[in-house]
Order: sequence, then structure tokens, then C-alpha cells
Amino acid sequence: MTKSWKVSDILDMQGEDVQFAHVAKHLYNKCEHWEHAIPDLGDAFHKACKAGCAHAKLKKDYPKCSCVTPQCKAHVLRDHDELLSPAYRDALKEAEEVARFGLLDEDRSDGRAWMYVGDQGVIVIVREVKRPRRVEVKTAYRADCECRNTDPNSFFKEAVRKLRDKTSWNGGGS
Amino acid sequence: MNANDWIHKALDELTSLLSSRLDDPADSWRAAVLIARIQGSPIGPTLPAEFVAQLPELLQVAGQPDHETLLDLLIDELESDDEPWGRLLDVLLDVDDALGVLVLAKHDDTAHELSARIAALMSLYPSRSIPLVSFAQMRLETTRHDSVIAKLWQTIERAPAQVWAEALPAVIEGKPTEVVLLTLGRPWFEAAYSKLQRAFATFKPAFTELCAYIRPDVPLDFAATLGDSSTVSLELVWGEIQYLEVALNTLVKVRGPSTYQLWYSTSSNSDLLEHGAWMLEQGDSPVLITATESQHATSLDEALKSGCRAASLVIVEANNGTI
Repeated sequence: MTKSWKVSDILDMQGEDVQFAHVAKHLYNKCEHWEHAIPDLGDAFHKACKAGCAHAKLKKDYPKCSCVTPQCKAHVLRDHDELLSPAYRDALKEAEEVARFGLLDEDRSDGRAWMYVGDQGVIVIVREVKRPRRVEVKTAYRADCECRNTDPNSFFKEAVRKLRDKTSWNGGGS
Repeated sequence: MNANDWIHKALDELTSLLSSRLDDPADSWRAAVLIARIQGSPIGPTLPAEFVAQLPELLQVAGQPDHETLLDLLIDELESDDEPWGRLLDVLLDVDDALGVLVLAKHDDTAHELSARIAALMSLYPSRSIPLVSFAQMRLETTRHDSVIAKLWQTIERAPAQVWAEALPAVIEGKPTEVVLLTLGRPWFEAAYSKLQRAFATFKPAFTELCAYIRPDVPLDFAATLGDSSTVSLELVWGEIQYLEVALNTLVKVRGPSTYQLWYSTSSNSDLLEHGAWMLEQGDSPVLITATESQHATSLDEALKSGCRAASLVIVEANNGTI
């Protein structure tokens, strides 16, 4: 389970559509309770709507930045850069410090994938990309707990359980 | 990931969980899930009797899974194009957990129904499943092959074959399976084959009076006389692609009375076929030989575009597993 890179080498999610979709599907999803990881988050979805985003466009199954106004797109992408990205980068650092990560996918044809779990239960999956050679975040989200569950520890426990089930990680740093 | 390590991790975690009182229903659920995994495993480990004794209380606290929510979540993830090892695999594991607990709680009918619905749903999205085949194969080692849980992961394990099978009718129809299979993983062959199909659609099949003569283990300069006496021959048909398996170092020559040009196509080149013959050597297979009812075309493409009749022959090395 060796890798030649560190968390500081990992690039953010690449591509506006990927960033937009993750903000809309995850950061703005109240059931994921991102306020556990981003204390000043407030009602990010409401703020996006006030900034010009149509409610329905953000709630679509496959939200795309090409389907919204330029103002909405700019707002959502800014939320990625200023809110979601720092949250998942913090999760990567926290996970690396206590070795709370594991190898997911060993198929080198697609590039190996690794799963990290931060202290607030933020799950980040990164993948090694071959050409050009880099490591990038592929997805970041919070574990699926019951929506009414607001206990941060529940999200962390569920994330760690998924880390244990999906990788060879066996509890170091829990 | 090693299947033995994975299932033994479950016992480690269960031991840790049950070492203290479980107040959180999520912890009771997790304990029940781990018991289900270990009990359902054909490769061990052995579940301590005192853990099994706690099962009724665990099940009472854990409650029952919400099937409809699971199905909704699964559909959402199948229809997205997010990283499959992320939320999609999480939901599949939640389904796995739910099936295990249903069986533990003796709700076998419900488990079977849920398993069948999930497998049917998964079969509609084989492309989303393919990246998870390695995980599915690992999980299948840790569950009995006739279990409801196995059904879920078997659907995923079969996804690559399903994608291929679904692609076949779009590539070729009514053609020999062996030739169809050659197109898989060979974009040049698929492109050449499709081009020939389009050309063949413009005329009716008819015998060509062209024959392919085959002699093994003879040098290329034998081509001049091959066909005067031969052991095997195959008549080409305008508008059809014939399939021919031969051993290495077999000479295949096409000759006949009609006016025609002969072409060869391989993974690296396409050109006029010298001497009308091809010696199949190591690494050649498959080779596409095409006869066109043309005289002065400078390329196969030009000949086909002119609308003249064409007949093809695919030469494949016999018994090399190429297909």
C-alpha cells in the first residue's frame, strides 16, 4: 500500500461541472450537515438561491453549471473554492496525520484510488491520474446518516465503518 | 484487498463493539451486520457463541432497514457519473448490510425480494458496475454462492460480459460469432468491419468464383502455384466476410478468373496484397483480406467508395485464444 505522493500533492476536484455538482449535491444537502465541518456555513443552499440560483436547477439529479445563469455558476463555484475545497483539504490533512486512509481500487489501468476520512467525517476519494501524472480529488461527501441525525459523531463513525469495509484499513488512527 | 483479511476484520470490529454496552441503535445495527457477514462466510472465522447469544437483543434495537429509501439512493447513484468507489459503493454496502440483517432476522422472503429488485436494477446500469468488479469478486469469496447477498455481487461481477453482449448487436448483426468477437478490443478491426458492412449493403451476396487456397508450412514463393492442387479451399462470396482459422506459417492464397484487386488489412497497415497471398506469421492474427471487383483503385477505401462488389476473408491463428 505504498504511494509516492503526499496529501499536499493532491489537486482539487478538476473541472467546473464536477465542482458544481459536488457543491449542489453535497454541500447544499442539509442532510449531510456540513456545518459540522464548516462552522460558519449557515444555510448555503438558501444563499445560493438568493444569489440567483433556481431552486429546481440545484436540486436536479445531475446539476450542471451549463444549465444555470452565469451569476449562479459563479456563486456555486466560489462556494467550492471557499467552502468545500478547504473542508476536504482539511479532511485529507487530518486523515494523513493519523493514517486514517486506505487503498480502494488497485486497478492501475484507471489509476489507483484512495479513501480518506477526516476528523469531522468528511470522506474524500482521490485517484492517481496517468496523463498528465497527478493525483486529484474525485469526490468528497459526508456519510449517509438519517437526515434528522445531527450528531457529528454518527457521521464520523459511519465514515470510518465505510473506510473499514471498502479498504484494507484496519483501525489505525481511529 | 484480501478476502480473508476482510472477513477477519469483521470479527475484530465485532469483538471491540460488543466489549461495551451498546446504546446507539447504529452500533446495534453494525453489530448485527457483522454477525451476518461472519455467519454467512464460507471461509470463516468462527463466531463465538456468546456473540450469537446477543443477537435477539441486537436485532430488536437495530430495527429493520428502509428498503424504499435504499432503492431510491441506489437509483440516484447509478444514474450519476460520480466516482463509483464513493457513494455508489457505499449504497451497495448498505444494501449488502440490509440483506444480511433480514436473513438473520428470518425475513428470508423479504430478503429475496429485495435482492431480486436490486439485481434487476443493477443490470440496467452495467457500465456503472464495471469499476467495482474487483470488490464484487472479493465479496463473493466471503459469502456463500447461493446467498441473497451473492446475487447482488454476481450481477456486478457479470457487468463486463453484459456490456459486451449489449454492444454486439450494435456492431454486427447476423454475422458469425467468432468474427463479432474479434471486434472487441480491436478498434481497427471494428472500423474495417463496419466499413465493409456499409459497402456490402449496396449489393446482393453472390458467388465470386474466387477461392482461398490454404497450404500449411510452405514458403511464400509457393504462392504462384498454390491453387493448382490444394487440400483446402474456401469460395469467397461477394458481400460476405468469411472466417478462416489456420495454423501459423500457413499460406493463404486467393485466386480466380474474375477481374479483381486484393487487399490486406492488419492492425498496422492496409494495402494491396502482393502475390494475392498471405503467410500467417506470429503476431499477424487477425488479418482481413478483401477482394474488390475493381482494377485500378489505389486503396481499399477508394475501391469500396466506388461501389464495386467486395468479398472478405478473416484469417485467424487457430487455437491461440485471440478471440
